[in-house]
Amino acid sequence: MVYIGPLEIPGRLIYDFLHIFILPGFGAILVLVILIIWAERKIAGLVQLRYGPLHVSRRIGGALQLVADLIRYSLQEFIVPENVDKIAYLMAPALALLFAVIPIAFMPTAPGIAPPIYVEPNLLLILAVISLAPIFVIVTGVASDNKFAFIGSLREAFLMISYEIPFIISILSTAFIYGTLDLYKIVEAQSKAFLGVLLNPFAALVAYIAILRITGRFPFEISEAESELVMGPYTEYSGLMYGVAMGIGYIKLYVYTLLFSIVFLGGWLPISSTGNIVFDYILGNIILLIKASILMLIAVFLRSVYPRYRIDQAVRLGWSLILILSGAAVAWSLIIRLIIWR
Amino acid sequence: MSLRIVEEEMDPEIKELIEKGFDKTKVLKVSLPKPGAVVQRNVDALLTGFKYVVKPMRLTIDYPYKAVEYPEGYRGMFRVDDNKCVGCSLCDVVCPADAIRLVLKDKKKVPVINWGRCIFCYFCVDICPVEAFETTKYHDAVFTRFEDMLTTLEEFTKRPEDYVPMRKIGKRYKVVIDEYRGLRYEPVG
Ligand code: SF4
Ligand code: SF4
Repeated sequence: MVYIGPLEIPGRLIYDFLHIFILPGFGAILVLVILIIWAERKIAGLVQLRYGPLHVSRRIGGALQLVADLIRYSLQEFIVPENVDKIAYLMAPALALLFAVIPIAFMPTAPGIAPPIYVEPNLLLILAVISLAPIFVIVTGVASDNKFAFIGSLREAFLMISYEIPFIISILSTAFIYGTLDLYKIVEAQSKAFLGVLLNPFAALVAYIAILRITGRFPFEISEAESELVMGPYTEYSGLMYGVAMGIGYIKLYVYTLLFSIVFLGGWLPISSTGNIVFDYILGNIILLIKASILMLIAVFLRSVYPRYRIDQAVRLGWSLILILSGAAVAWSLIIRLIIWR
Repeated sequence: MSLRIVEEEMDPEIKELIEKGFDKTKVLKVSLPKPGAVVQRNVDALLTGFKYVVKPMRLTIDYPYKAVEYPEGYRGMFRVDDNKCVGCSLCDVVCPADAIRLVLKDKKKVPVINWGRCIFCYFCVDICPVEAFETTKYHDAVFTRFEDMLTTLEEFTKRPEDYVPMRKIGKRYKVVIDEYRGLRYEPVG
């Protein structure tokens, strides 16, 4: 395995900067979150036979609605209620956000270029970091001194356990097939055989359903259930902090779909390393982002079709069908590895 | 669950079939959803949703750039003719939203309105013994401050479009019942 652009090449620092701040990093997050929230509202509008957001920037169909919303959030008064645990209340959403975005630094997103922080088992590292984020959601709810927030965070805890385990099992089951825990090598292995979805459809199905739950999309938007719990764990937040809290779910969706497209959809795959770093960087990232965006669009489309599961239904589904399917994914991986594809 | 309870809850049509001599177990089985139906229904729901995303079928109108032309007798904003008004205060008494207040003018009580409270029920218009209210079809008022919604007598005697900032409406449409879509909008004039 040879990486072009390891530590010693001169462009390394520039590439790291671009990776973190522009293309798969913060710049892309901001643009995609704005667009995906707009798409979510627009799709819900279309399915419910109405227009959806339109008034802000009519020419492009109201795509800048979220920018207007963010301006409004940041001008609103930010109220810290009297009885909250102030440090936890202020820190928890920020930490949840932080742990949701950190995995991007470990993800290889372009052919021939190592991510800014490159360690061999980076899939394991990403799973470890990414599964820390829900803990801060629970802290948010407990610190808020509000019964809705508390119930929301309890629901989050129940669901976190019942869906993150199948998610991790199913993602790791693909590692059996590829024989590595390195995302870069996983993509390379897919380029030699089939895409991950075809190699292990069970794992892909379980991972996608678990992503829907972990990022709070419908039909699993249970911990933030608007009609029951106001805003779940984030009930007590106002102003800019509310905007951040609302964005966390979408940022998580972005990071998880990136991981999903690397593991199951072959990352940057139709192209491979050409040796020209600039070309590779731009095209590889864009292909990856397109794959992730399609997955995100499907996830937000489900909001307009499905109602919300009850908490017990969702937990039962997680511990029965989803867990069994993830077991099947492991078995399938072993079969492929040991019998078909030695 | 015992069969007796099932029979009590049973559809009258199925009961009739059983009485006609159909095999009871078979009749009950048919009335249960098939196991594969779950997948089928999910796919149907997703396809229906997708159909509307690809081929929009909007039932709402792009207000305020387009708006519906209201029929005669629509309960919009209204004004008072203080020369006709005899100061009987019936409108104040009947108003369910407590939107009308009486002010003194030349030793006579005349009504003024709070547009923030009025629910456009038209009780006041109906009860007035001398028909002192003149009605309009307008309701597209835009107020930027709460205080502006409290009218003075001078304002309330004018027609609403003369003192209330109205939204500029591009085009007026009328609602038509459509067999396929349910509702349709056709331009007026
Ligand atoms: S229309 Fe109804 S609510 Fe409005 S002022 Fe008259 S009585 Fe009151
Ligand atoms: S009911 Fe008519 S006449 Fe009586 S106070 Fe009201 S507007 Fe004047």
